[in-house]
Amino acid sequence: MAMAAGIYRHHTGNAVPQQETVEDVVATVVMDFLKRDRFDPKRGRLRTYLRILTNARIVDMLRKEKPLDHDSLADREELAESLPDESPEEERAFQQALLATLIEDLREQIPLRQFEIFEMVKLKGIAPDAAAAELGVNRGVIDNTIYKVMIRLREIASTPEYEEEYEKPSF
Amino acid sequence: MKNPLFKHPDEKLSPREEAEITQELADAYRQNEIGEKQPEFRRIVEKVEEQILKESKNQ
Repeated sequence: MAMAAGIYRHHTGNAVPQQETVEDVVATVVMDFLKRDRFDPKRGRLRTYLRILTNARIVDMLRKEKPLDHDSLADREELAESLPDESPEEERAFQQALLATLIEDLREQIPLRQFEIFEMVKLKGIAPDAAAAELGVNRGVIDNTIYKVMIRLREIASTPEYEEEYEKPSF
Repeated sequence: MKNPLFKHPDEKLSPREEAEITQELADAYRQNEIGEKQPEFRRIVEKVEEQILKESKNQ
């Protein structure tokens, strides 16, 4: 939503979009993304692709009489050059969304019990001793699990997809 | 500066880096939990669902 609002402001001389406008654009971008099924990580980064889609939908909305040629999205590099710079809020929102996805990936790849301990201590900020008491295990089990889960998390994070997407883009 | 979470897994992290990672993850987790409960998030999901339903009826 920060992305859509930023791009809208860029195209309208800093006009603040209505909430409903932003929601409509985001819903359309999600639909577009689901329908296209053409994102190719080899050709660029997901966040760049999403910005291109968002930009196209906003330009479409602003020029209702003449929608953009959607096929031109294939030429991503050219379109990326016409995009406004990513705002700090947009970058922060994207990074947080990516970390949330990383947490979901972790959840799917480790035993439920391990994730439960990780969630309590690392994500919800429950003290390890309190987590041990609540789960009825020794403190050592908590520390050992957190150690193992952090290694697994860093392994997942070190995959090129995550590493590249997290860093600030260079257009 | 590179986020320490994305350092190579074999690289040892300092306590400060560990704390930084924990904070980032907790923030992202909380934001995600909050986000899913926000009315605008629910409205967007509803709009997407409506659109999917409309398109499946048209096919």
